[in-house]
Amino acid sequence: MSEVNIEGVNSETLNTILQINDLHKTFVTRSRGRKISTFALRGISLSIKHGEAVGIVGESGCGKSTLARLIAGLESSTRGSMLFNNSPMKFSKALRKKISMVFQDPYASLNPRMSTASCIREPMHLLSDEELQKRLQKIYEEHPEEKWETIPRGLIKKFFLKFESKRALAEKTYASNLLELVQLRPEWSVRYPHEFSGGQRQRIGIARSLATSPELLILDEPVSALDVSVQAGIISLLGKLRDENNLTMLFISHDLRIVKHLCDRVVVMYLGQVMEDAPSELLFSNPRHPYTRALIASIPKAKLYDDIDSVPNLDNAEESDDDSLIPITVLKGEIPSPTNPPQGCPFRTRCEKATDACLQQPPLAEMTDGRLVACHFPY
Amino acid sequence: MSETVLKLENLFVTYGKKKRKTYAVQDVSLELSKGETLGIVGESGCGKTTVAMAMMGLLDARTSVEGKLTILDKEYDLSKMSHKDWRKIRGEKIAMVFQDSLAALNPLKRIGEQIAEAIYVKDKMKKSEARERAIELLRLVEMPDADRRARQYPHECSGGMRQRAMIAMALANEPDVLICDEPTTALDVTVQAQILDLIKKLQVKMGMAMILVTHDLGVVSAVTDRVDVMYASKIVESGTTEHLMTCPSHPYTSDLLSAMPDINAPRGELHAIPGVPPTLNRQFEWCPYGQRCKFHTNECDEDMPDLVQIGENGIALCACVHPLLKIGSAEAR
Amino acid sequence: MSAKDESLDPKASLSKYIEETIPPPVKYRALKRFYANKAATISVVFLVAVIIACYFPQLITDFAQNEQTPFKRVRPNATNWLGTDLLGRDILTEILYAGQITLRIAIAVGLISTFIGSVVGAVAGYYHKVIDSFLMRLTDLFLVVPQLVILAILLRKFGDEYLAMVIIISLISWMYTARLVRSQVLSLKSREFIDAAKMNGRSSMYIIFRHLIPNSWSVIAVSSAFTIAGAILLESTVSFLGFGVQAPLTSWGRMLFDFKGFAVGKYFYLFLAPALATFLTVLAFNFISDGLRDAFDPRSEQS
Repeated sequence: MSEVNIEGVNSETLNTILQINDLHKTFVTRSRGRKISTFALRGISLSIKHGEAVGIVGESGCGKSTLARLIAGLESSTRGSMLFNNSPMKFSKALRKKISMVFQDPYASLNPRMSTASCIREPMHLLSDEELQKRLQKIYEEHPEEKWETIPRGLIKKFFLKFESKRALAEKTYASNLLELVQLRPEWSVRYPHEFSGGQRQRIGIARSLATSPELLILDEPVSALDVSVQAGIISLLGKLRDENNLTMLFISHDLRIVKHLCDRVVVMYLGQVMEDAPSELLFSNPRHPYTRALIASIPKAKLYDDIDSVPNLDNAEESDDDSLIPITVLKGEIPSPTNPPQGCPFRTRCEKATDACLQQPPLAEMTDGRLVACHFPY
Repeated sequence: MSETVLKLENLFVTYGKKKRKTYAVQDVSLELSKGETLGIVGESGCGKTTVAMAMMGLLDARTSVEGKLTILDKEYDLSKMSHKDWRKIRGEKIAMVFQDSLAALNPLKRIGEQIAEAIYVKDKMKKSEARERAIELLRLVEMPDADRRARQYPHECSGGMRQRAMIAMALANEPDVLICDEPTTALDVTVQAQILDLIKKLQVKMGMAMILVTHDLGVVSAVTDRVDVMYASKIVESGTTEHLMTCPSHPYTSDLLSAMPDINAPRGELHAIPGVPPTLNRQFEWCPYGQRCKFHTNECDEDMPDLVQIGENGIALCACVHPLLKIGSAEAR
Repeated sequence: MSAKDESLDPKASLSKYIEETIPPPVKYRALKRFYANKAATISVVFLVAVIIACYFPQLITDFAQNEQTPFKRVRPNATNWLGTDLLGRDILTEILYAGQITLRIAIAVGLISTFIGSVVGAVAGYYHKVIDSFLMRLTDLFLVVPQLVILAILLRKFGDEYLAMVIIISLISWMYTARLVRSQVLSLKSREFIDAAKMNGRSSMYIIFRHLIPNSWSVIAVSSAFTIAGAILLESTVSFLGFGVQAPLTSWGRMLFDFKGFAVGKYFYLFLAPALATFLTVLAFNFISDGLRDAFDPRSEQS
């Protein structure tokens, strides 16, 4: 499909920002003297190109959060390799500058004792003085008066301003500017996180993650803890940021509706493995893995009418038949525990199409339309 | 048509005292017919959970509750109910399924024991009979391997199973009305489908009326017959689910629908609702959504619009000065 | 009627700032919560009064320390508010000067042992398994040692002047703080802002001193108040038993030692004075620690 120019490097690999091969992660804990292994990731392979927005979906126990933490450098893998821009991922300062993460809980992801500016400044120690100056130059070109010092504050704080180093002032100015990127007012950078609402705090978290101008942004369920109307604002913001900054995004969620809206590609995970990896339109219009199909069908949907007078009257409505009381497909069984995954295909225990052949682990194979499916009998 | 099983009239719930009062629920009324499922929808802070708790008498004693609750033609004045009065109706007339099953179940008691407790406390059945009945109930809620599960502790079960156990507990005394407060919010989507299906099946089987409190419009559209939309402590729209989901009349409902990405809708823009809900520290007599509404005029600030009927068919009610004519439309009356 | 224009246009760019604003800052919220606890506020006033009185005794009494007057064994009266002892020294004056020593020791112990305890607790809570186990066993070791025995032995060996006393008492007072800080840190460790700091490449030292300990101020403040109270009691006890503060220095404990024969009977006021002083001060510190706990806990605002 792609030409090989230099050994090992081709146009495909040049464009790949993240390459994950057969990643495994097992957590071992001791409970009542017995060793319990949780197989969070069991052989994940994934490749992400520059500028893509990839959504990773799955239910509890599928390992998506663990995957996020591994890529962000918070955990180390048990087996398998991860390549960032085609070199093995060693979490030095240089690498941490390029990868950033937005966390799920807006109430816990900011230190309540640190001002907003301090929170946003946290990753800036990874920037060298020149890089910071370069960014500030750009800002001063547009807004010459916006300095950290000009934000109104009390007398005592004004006094302490004298003791701040140049570097600290520069960082704080940059931090206030980052707030503008996320639609918050720069003068709010002196305030503390607890004064903000959940949605605003999440915006601060996003501002923090953009402080080093990362190439890859990981978002671990960034809107799950927020109200529906607030979610829409954050999603729109993320879309805009991605377009303007050419960010590569890894969006982790359990809510397929949001992923469909924001992502180019979707990866469906189940019990530590990838079930399907397809472009977003293809996946939602024609899911081929039985689990993906069941997942999409389980989502309650709303019907559509045009105006008020064409809606059927309650009195004249037919009695619904007992078979399908609700217009949702119901999948039988429970998700197996990650401490004891089924042999072979993990979805085997709940799949309608399962046969004995499914005791053999299905490989993540490429289909004719370019997507990857791990199933012996895809639709 | 069908008889009215439950009627709630003029519910007012106020927390706090003197200057720091919170008017959590202002003048909420609703009606429930036999076999019907009513959804109460709203975002966090709108008061929907408070309404559910008020109907069960689970609010703190220092909270002021006013209103009249009528279940099967028996009237109860909510401001005068004592613990004893509540204990008589809870379980038999009205029961509740909570959101967080891990918090709502006693972690130190086995599941079967907890369900049995709900029975023998009321019926004065022998304990052993109650335990048998508990296992029967677990089978009723489709708990796999009911005998074994009954002897397990809550933390040993998954979220879906715990929720089934809670449903079994709620149904133990065959209530006439079942209130579900966000029963599936904490569950995975496939488990959510199972639980919703289960609840619906049980409702039909046991002939209960049901109130489902949730923020998820998708759940509402799948399970409920009628919906009440709450915003800032008041009900702003009420109608059949179909009507509301597809052709809402109140601008808030319409905005809420367009803020929610729908799985079937094409990938378009999500419209966030600018601003925040008002703080509920005073009673207000104007439309609470006015400040954030696209169609806001001065008329909206003068008086709280009543719930009036709109459209020719159905029993849709809308509390708006400028209700919408078409979906997401720029036109309103 | 039709809607306002912008919001319906799907292609409209996002507005510059979101419309939500944040409320203006509430100043000194923690102080107000502290003030709401009446016992704590009164205790602070009392303590400040005691400290001023002890360090500026000339404001209250005309006598000098150890000044012997001809009026021996006089009961409390107008001149000698608390009476005199058998050498004619005014008890009130003695209490005030003794208070200097007791308080100095107690506060120094408070500061040092809180510092030791916080660092030990934070390090134990942050690092895993081995270091945690080691530090916790060390803490247990210090805890099981019978305090008075150890105090007696060490004080005899290293002398009983100020510095020695402070260090030795600190050595057996830090464990309480360590445990509290450790459990606080353990619960903080799983919070996402710690993950964020790790992801941003911050060192462990930074995380401990910039994230974990600042968020443990509530625990540290409360336990330091307790530690000070405990230190006062320890000092009193050792001095009462004879191996603490020695003459010519005096402390409240030392006064108890001096007057221990007079606990009951005609001259009970001699013993009562230092006992009451100790008791009230310790009580004050306890109330203050309650107040501090309230001050740091946002939920205590709800009525």
